[in-house]
Formats: sequence, C-alpha cells, structure tokens
Amino acid sequence: MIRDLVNRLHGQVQVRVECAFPERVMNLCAAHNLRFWDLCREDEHTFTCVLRRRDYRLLRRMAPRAQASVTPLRRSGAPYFFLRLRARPVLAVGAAAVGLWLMLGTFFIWDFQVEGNKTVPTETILRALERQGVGIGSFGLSLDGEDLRNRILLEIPELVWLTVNVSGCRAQVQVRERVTVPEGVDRSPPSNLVARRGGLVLEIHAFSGIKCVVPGMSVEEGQILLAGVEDTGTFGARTTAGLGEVTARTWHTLATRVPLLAQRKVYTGEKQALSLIFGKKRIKFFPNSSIEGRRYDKITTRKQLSFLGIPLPVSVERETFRFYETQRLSLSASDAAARGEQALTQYLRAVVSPYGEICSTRTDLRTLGDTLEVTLRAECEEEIGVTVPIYMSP
Amino acid sequence: MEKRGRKVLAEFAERFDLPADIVAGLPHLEMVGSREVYLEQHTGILSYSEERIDANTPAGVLRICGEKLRLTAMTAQELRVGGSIRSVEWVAL
Repeated sequence: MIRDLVNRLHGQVQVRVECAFPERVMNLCAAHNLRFWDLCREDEHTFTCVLRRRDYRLLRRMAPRAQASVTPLRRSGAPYFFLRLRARPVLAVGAAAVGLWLMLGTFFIWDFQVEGNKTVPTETILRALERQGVGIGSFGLSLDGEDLRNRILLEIPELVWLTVNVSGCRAQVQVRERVTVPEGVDRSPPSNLVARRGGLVLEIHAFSGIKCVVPGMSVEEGQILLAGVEDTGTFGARTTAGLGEVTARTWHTLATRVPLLAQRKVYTGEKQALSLIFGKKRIKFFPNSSIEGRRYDKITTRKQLSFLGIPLPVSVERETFRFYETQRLSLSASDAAARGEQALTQYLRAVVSPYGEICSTRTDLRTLGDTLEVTLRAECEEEIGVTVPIYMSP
Repeated sequence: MEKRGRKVLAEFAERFDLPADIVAGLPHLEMVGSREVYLEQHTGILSYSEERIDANTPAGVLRICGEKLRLTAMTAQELRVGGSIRSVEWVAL
C-alpha cells in the first residue's frame, strides 16, 4: 500500500509495448534499472505494464533500440493531477483554500466530550465552560487548564476535579463528582409514626417509640402506629422519635372515563429540510421552507461529519416534517377498556412503587353514554408509616 | 574458464561456510509455496509466456513452468514471478 502511494505520488503510466521479442524490452528495462510492475501479456508480441513517469520517458527513448513501440494507455498520480488542475485555476485555489481551512480548523475546538459525570448534567458543565470562554470555536492551544478548573469548581460545587484535554479539534472534559456524606437519622426531635393510608397491618418493626398496633389490626389513615410519647409511670411522660417500618395490605380503587369516540392521525405527506451547521452558524438549504397553519410531526436528526475519525466542525441537520390530518374514530369497548386499564395501572404503579408492590388487580366496566367508565381495584402490600413531628409548647 | 573459476569459488565458499551467492556470484532463489519465485542475480529473460519463463543466470538457465505466470517485478538484479508454479528446473545446455 505504501509503495502504491509512493508510486502515485511520483506519477505512473500504464503502457502497451509491442515488439517482435518482448523479452528484449524487459531485459532492457532491467539493465537500465527501469522499474516496472503489473506486467500483463496480451499476445506473443505485446504486453502491458506500469512504469513510473520518469522511467516511462526513458523507455520511450530507448524503445527504438529494441525495435519496439511504446503506447501510453493511462496516466495517473499526483503530477498528472496537478497538470490537469493547471487548466482550472479556480478549482486549484478552492482545493488549497479548503486544505488551509481544514488545517487551521484543527487549532480550534469544534466538539466536546464530557466524561465522568453521573449526577451533574453534561449541559451544566458545558454552560459553565462557555461562561469561562471555552465553547465551540475557541482557540484550543491557549487553554489554561488550572485556571479553568479553579473557576469551574467554584461555579459547580458538586464537582471536585475537572480537566480539559484538547486533542485535535475535540476537547475531552473529564470530571469527578463530589461524594456526599449520607445524612444520619436524627432521633432527637420527638415524632410519631402515623399511617399514610388505611390498611391491614402485616408486619411492624419498631426502632424507637411505643408500638400502638399489632399485626392483623386494621388501621385508618392518620392513625398512630408508633408513638413518640412514652409514659414512664414514675417520672411522667418522656418524648422520643417514633421510628420504624410498618408493612400493611392496602386496597386502591381508581376510576376513569374513556370516550368511545377518539381522533386518529392520518399522515398525508412528508417534507424534508437540510441545513449545515458550522459551529454556531446555520445555513439552510431551503430558505423558503416555512410551514404555517398545518399540523405536522417534526423529526430532527443531526450528524456531525468526520474525516478519518477526526470530527469536523460541520454538522448536517435533517428536519423531517410529517403532515397529518385528524380523523374521528369510534373505539370498540374492548379497545377503550384496554386504554383505560393501561392508564390506571400506570398511575397506580407510580403511586405504589416507591413504598411496595401491587399484588392483584381487577377491572370493572360500565358504559355511560359515549364514554366507558373503567374502575380498577387493586390489592397491594406497602410501607404505610410516615413520620409526623410532635409540636410541644415551649 | 570463467565457469571453472566460479565452480572453484563455490567449492571454496562451501568449505569455509561462506555464502556462495556472494562469494561466487551464484543466483539466489527463493520460493513462497507454489505462488511466487524470487530470483536474485539473474542476467535477463530468455523467453516469457504464461506457461513458461526462462531466466538466464550465471549458473545456467532457470526454467519456471506453471500456469498464469506473470512477471510481478523486475530489476537489473532481481526477478519476481507470480502465478501457479508447477516446477522450477535448471536447463542443461
């Protein structure tokens, strides 16, 4: 491959040699150190081969000595390319300008890659960098990493370390987040543990405070489960923090109405718009592509261009507009029931999941004119205790 | 006379464990499976076809027989032949 590249840089010519004794031409080439390759015999007196540009000239001069004729078939390589460009000066200047632009472009930052952040969003880090003057189009060689780190760490206290490494036109931002010390349980303020919702108590684990319920008891919302006030019998009442876990079986009833007439999207057409983004500048290819008064879904895809793995400061953005019209659609009872059940189950899961799990569900349906009433009844097991402070008069 | 001198040099090189291709100027031949023949110190090609290539060397004529033979590279000292090589033999003159 490297040899092929060198040959192309020197320029190469594929020739057809006709001679009564082709071996004489080969020996002549070898004797004068004319390198040839890709030799292909066409018939008894003719063969084709490839030579370097300089060797071709020598062979052409020597060919009459071997009573041979040399015909060039194809010229390729850098010298011939530049010879062709001589007739098109604007193209040559354009190519040179692009090359210069690409070369200068590598001194600037055109892409950011943030690593090591889990809780701090990438956007926050990039905005902080931008406020410190490091953004798309900044000169990459003049970055003062230490100064930048000191400023960013003051601005984002969740970070403990930051470094910016510029490689080509990509800035790699590496961060380390602060590990927060977990908060300890504060047992000092007096509190009760009360029921968040009614249910049947299954298990009770008291860490502190007095148990007011036992497993098997049904409780109502707001009922004290673990009391923070203890009667000592001799010294009067003593206050403490009522802490513990109470698991109970609970029942939820949710209802919703689903209309039996719905609207459906019918796509009528599609339109695409392309734009090129240079850093922060956008060039639209379809300037008169404004869309008014029509309903559409807009899908935007952006792709950054790269050359041999090096990101270029150019992105291609494609916007696809999918136009639609709405159509009235009558839903069957089963479809409407499925929709209603799905919505209710989703809501129930959002309510119960932080505390426990859903054990079983049952759905009831009732038609009310143009709507279907869906009722979801669920049995769950969940943690129902919630700490409520005891306010004491000073 | 020259042939006799080369023979003496070749024997001398053999006795003293010296490389004969350098001391006596004998051709150096290498093969890569049956796909390629590499010949150093040739003195030209005598005949060339897709089935047979005869190369002249100081030690005699080397005949390479095979199918779809092609001369992949050639310089004043070196010769590289590719293709499906069936036999390589020294031709008695």
